[in-house]
Amino acid sequence: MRSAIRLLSLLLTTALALTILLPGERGAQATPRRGGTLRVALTGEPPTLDVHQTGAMLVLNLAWHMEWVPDRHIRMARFDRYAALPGEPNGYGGRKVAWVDEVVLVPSSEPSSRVLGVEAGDFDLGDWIPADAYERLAKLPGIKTLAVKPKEWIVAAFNQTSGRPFARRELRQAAQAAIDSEKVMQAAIGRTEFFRLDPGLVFREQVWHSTAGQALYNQKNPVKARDLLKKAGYAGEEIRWLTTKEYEWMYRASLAGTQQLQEVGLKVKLGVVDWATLLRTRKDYDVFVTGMVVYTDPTQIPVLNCSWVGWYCEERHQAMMKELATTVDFKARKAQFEKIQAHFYDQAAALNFGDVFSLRIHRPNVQGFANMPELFVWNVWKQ
Amino acid sequence: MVRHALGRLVALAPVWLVVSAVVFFLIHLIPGDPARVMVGSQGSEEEVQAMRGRLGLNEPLVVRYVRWLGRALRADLGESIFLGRPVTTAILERLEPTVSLTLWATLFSVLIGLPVGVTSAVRFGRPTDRLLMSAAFVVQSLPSFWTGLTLILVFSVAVNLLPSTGYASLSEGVGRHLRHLILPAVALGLSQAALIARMARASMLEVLGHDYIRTAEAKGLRPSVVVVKHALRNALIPVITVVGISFAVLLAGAIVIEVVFNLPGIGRLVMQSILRRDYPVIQGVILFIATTYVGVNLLVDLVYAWIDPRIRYR
Repeated sequence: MRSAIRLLSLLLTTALALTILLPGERGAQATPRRGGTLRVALTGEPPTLDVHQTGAMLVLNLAWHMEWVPDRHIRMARFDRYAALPGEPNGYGGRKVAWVDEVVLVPSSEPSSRVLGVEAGDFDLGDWIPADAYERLAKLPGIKTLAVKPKEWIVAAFNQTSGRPFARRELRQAAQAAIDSEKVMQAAIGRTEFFRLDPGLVFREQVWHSTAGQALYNQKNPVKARDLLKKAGYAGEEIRWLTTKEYEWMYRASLAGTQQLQEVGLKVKLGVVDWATLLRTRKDYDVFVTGMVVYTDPTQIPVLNCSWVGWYCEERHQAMMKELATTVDFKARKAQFEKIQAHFYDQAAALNFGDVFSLRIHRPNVQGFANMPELFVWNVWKQ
Repeated sequence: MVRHALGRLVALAPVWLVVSAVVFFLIHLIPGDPARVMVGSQGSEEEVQAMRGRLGLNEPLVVRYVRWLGRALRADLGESIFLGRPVTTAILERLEPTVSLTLWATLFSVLIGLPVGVTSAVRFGRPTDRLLMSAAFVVQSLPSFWTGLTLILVFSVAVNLLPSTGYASLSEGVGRHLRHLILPAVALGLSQAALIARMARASMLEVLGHDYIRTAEAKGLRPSVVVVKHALRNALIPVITVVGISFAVLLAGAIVIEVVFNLPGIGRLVMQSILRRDYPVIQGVILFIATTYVGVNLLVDLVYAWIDPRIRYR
């Protein structure tokens, strides 16, 4: 009897020890645990976390005692009196729990430093990692790779102010017909895991997504382009295209795009400047490249707004946008937006090259990360 | 010497004035608008104009320069457009990492460069000399960002011995401070070490050819005594000049290393300010660096005169 009890005790102790000592198996159950510090490597810091964007995605409602040491970090401690909503997490909404004790956001503008920092364990999570590094990083046991899908779509915006070459619809349509979006995206992004051809002005993952106007997207039709150029009465005016190397994909997309336009007979001059200069001088150029991020409502999309540089102010479009803004019923709004998108392509208001995904990486012990387009770290814990 | 030093300080004023004017007007010639950068690429023209008004960017350039210069003379370098704090505060906050990095990099470059140069000179013409000078030549050609990233790959990623990023001040512990600065200091100081090695070698060779060295050898003194006690002290004079100028160069040139290693120093501050068109910070930092450069040069001259009694300033 005593032997049996001893044996049973031994078996129970062994089972308990194995449960404690084999974190891999425990990790498979993914039980959140409180505690630890999460260190996140970002491209920039406030007032713009990314020097090219305003706004920041911080865990403000879950944190208190925020310490900001400029150029070093933003350190946030968990607010213990925050009560999470019941239910499950749901993207940007739903239940939000601050599992870690502290979140430290570190500005690290050099992409290699962010990558090596995560590899070395100095960071737990790294944002905006170059897609070129994906193949190497995917093979490393100490790194988890995540494609951020969607992130932006690449647009070449035409300057449609009166007197400019692209004030003429036929000229814009000629440019649209000439573009081979796949080649542009391959040049811009490289790896197929990180881009997608799609005519939508909102992303496939969103309820607003539509393929209206698809026939005019990615036409890669130089013959049609040349015909449209003749129809437009193009007399060899120089087209000034502006881009920046600060976003490597914008620069590469511009190289490919301008070459395709030149092949059909447009005389294009490429200007390469830094981002601050681009923002300042883009209104003096005929085309500039930028990215459209995720917007929750189509009325927010800048390239559809008359006041945004590009000045897509065509009368019928304006009327449709006004109706979209004043309609309440979603089905009616969706139908209206599809007309807007179809008209966008008919007018060749801008060149939509395709969707871009970005790359994030994290250490394997980081769990619960939702990987939405805008980064947030609620519901994240460290195993 | 005191009169010389005072004269040099007075001469700093026109230098300062010229630098301030050149920096101010050159920066404003570059296209780009801090108001637009702050509002963002999606903002409207009206928002940008409103921001320009708030930031005082609509005033004439000359008016803004005179106003800024007047404040700078009272050690008020204005307020950073982006950081929302005085430029002087921003610089002082970031001074420690840059000065620490520069000091350690200079120390490293002297500790490595000087012995290498002396050894090379003493073994002039032999394989050791050729090997050391070839290595110095190669090392001096390596870009510092490449050196930095390679050091991170080896010491942080592969062997996980040292951190790849960040800074710990002295108040957080000497050990921690050094752990964060070893790799950046080596990356920054390596090319200067090569320069010091070559300078030291050239200077030693010149000194070793003198008669008094031959006399010292003939007296039967040990080679180490001849080299260290007699030759090195005289060979150090030009080396000190190089070290002093190196310090100033490293102080101004630590931008790349600060970006690679994520050090919150002045170099990174000025780089980010240029991208954002944060004019007050750019102006303030460049003025600060110019003043430091002139100050270091003056100090080197004074140390020079102190070491070599043959040198006297009128």
